[in-house]
Amino acid sequence: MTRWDRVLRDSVWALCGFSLCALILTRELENFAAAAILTLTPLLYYFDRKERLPASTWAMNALILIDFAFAAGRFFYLKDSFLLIVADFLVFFMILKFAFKKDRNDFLQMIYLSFFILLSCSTLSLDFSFLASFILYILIVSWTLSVYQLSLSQASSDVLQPQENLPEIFQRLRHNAWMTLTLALVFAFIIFAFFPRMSVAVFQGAFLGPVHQTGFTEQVNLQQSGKIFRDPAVVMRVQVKSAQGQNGRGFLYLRGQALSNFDGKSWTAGERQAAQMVKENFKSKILQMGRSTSNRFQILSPDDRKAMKTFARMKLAESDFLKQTIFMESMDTSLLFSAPWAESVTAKIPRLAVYQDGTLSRPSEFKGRISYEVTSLIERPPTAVLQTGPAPKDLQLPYDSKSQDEEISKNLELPENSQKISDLALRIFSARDLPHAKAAKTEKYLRENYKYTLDLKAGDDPLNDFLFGSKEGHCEYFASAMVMILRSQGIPARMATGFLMDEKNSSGDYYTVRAQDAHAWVEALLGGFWVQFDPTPRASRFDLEKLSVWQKVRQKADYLNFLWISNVLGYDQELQEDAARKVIQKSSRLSIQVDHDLSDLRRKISVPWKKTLMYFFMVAAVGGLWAAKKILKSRTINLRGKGPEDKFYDEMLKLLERKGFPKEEGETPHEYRLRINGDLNEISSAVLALTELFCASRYGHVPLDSSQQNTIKTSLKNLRLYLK
Amino acid sequence: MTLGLGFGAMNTGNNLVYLVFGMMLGLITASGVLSEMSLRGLETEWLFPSDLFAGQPATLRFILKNLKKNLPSVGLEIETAYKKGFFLYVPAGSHEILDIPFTPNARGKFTFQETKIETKFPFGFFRKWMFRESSQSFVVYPKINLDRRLETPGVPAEKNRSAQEKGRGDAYWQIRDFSHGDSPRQISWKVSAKQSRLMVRETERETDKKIFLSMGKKSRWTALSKEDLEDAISFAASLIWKNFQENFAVGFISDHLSVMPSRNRRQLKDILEYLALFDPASQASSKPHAPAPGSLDILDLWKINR
Repeated sequence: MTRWDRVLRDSVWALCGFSLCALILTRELENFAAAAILTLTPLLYYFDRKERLPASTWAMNALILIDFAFAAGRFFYLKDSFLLIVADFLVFFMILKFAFKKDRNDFLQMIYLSFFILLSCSTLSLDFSFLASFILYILIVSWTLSVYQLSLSQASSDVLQPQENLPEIFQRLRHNAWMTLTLALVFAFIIFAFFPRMSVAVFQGAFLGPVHQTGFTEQVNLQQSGKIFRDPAVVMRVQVKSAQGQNGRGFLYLRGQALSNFDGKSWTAGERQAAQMVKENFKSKILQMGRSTSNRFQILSPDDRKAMKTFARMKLAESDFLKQTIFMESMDTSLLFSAPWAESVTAKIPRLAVYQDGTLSRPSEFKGRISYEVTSLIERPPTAVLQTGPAPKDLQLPYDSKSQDEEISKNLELPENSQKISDLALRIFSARDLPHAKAAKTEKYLRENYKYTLDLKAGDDPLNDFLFGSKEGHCEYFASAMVMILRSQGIPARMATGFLMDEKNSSGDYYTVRAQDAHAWVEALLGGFWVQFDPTPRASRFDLEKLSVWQKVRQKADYLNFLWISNVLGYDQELQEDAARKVIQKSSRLSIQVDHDLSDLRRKISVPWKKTLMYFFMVAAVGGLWAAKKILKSRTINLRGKGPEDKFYDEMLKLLERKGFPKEEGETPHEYRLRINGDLNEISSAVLALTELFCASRYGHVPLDSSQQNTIKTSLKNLRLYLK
Repeated sequence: MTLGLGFGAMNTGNNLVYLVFGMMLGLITASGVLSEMSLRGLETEWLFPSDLFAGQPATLRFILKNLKKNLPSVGLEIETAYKKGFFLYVPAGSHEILDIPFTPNARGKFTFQETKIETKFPFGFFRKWMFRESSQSFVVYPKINLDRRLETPGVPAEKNRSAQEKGRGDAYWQIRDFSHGDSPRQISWKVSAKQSRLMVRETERETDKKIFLSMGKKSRWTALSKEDLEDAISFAASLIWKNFQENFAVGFISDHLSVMPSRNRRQLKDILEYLALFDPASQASSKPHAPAPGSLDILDLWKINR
């Protein structure tokens, strides 16, 4: 194996190994595939270096076919995610290529495979690590393709140049790789920014990416819950326009759904009706293709606003609304999360289901990653209103049931053997207390007398165990307890689940919401409104002031991810049009500004502009001519292949020709010198000196210094004297 | 593949696929730019060996000059009528050499009209090439075969006869005292040691060995078949070459070339070149040469040695 072959082999291994690592970095690969990469790649590389790999093409092809059949089986029968199947198929295809002896064609196939793996990364990657992988891949692939091409050209040539300058070649290849990277990034940016986003979505359904199991379920089982509170995976990032927290507590609740039915162990939503809001899904009438475009769904109608203003004496000023932009990772739920009392939703979905309990749900085929905007009402009716008792039945209030009786009775149901809970309720507050006071006292009681823990030993009756036994539990226990206490006293109440966001990223001014931030709280019907209460004591919540260095680094990294998601992954047609509009506006503003500034300047400085400009252009023209002359001169030298420094050699040739020693056509300077050497021994040293200086200046482009100019003068003088 | 990727990006709307699509376009552009940079500012030159004989392996030297001041040229394939060569790297403002083995199969004049310089560097996406006009030519002398019979009746092949005067030769002439201007090579150190003074050994000059060959009448050459013509010319060249190697002064006379016997290498080249280009059928008519006294007719010798 030649050195060049070894370089090619190592380059291809590096490229393929790197592309597989990039696939691991997406964190979407199955564990066994990642383990196979990490163990087999170095092992097989070792055997390849020792040239101990088997050479059996049929075995390799047979195994590749099996790999393909397995992937097809997973797709058609197991209905796994297409993108994950492709990634796994490519991983094992590559490992099979690693495992057998390779020729030059195999190396080319491996280079192609590495490209498809990068493509697979682009479909699976969710964070900015792809950018690093992308940049490094371009560098390595540029190097490897160059090495491959040079190796191929050498193999197909009859005669090769002696390879003495390999380090220089490798340096050149490195330079080329950087230049390629620059060009590729420029093109990538141009294509990314300006290529029209058409999203024609042919076969879109077949290419759905993996859906993440966050543990957030649409029912809550007290005996099985708890795992989600330990999962630090980021499920969404939320930007809020108003920094005001809700209820003055500094926390923001992201409500997912309300659960009304409780059987003593688990909560479910029960039967509920949804109002479907359907929007136009086809932007292109001609193509009639399913393009997902941004749609605004208005939840709070003008009638609702009017009722709230008149009955609840609410202001509904602009500052009372909170605008949230939510970047949600792909989750195994179709719920859309937002701060309670959503006023409107803007999302790239064709339909939105709004349930009677205020739950928002997207279509099941749009379960992947999504970004959407929600405007929520953060103003709450005054306590006086909430203490007035049930709202008049003929008044249709928002965030309330459209069929109030059914909803009220559903949210007053108690599980069997709830007498103890009722007794406890009367110990917490007086029967004469108003409903709002009862709710507030229960919230306070639970917070102060019960402890938050995730280490639970759930028994057969988890709620009673919590209330009267251990007195320890997590949010779902607290919420369940409060709901049951309120219901036992005739106050309709339900459990609301979602996330509690308080981890603010100071770098990016957004909230990071993790799976462990899942939360449950209580909604009680007071004065015709479902009012939120949170009986869970705040245990070890996020504190921006007490961040460790590692946490700060993680925050920075998360901010990069956020930027990547919002600006790169989330860059769509609307943003593109927005950016174009901004560029046009800014450029016109700039040009107006420049015009204005220039006219100001002209007014301030009374200079004869026309004359000055004329002089300036004259000087520039003279300078340009001088520069052009210089450039032309150097070009002419290159074209003729001779420079002025070669004149001395021409003079020497003329002198020798006069004495009967002409230089023949095709004879090199040194051949000529050697030929005439025998007859002109006395001047051989002068001829030698002139020939060498000519070769150095003519072919080596070495500029002649003063000592060499002196040598030329002396040698020519000697020649003239001798040949006189 | 790039177009497919572009469609995939449009279909899925995946921004990272757009990035990869952009990368592909960037690679294609880089490939075009780098290959163009490699091909620019190149100049070629052929160097041919001074003596090139039919049937004898020789080396043609191809020089590729990179006139660019800062940019080297990488991965250049050279395609000639005979062989394909490859330059891996030509530094900026420098030149590189490729020695191409070449065995001409016939005598005559060979011309390199143009040389194709091609590159697929850096990624093999494009194949770019250019032609460099050179119009450089070289003459292949007739085939030299010293194993064949090359007898020349009437030409003394024995040791040269003495000329009865001092000069260059092997035979002893005299020993005398060293005088100013004598070559130190002539000093006989043994005798000088005995005499305790510098003594010079002089040799007797030997007469020149010489052979004078004549092409004879043109009509005799035109009557030969092609094979015989080539064989006769090869015989003539071999005979001349052999005698020259044996220190004979070689003279030659034909309708177009007439040279007196000489050991000058330049003259030998003239004779061989004449033979290389000799074509009795197409040679322009000129005044037939007068028979030279003491010259040997090449065709007669050829017939004797067949």
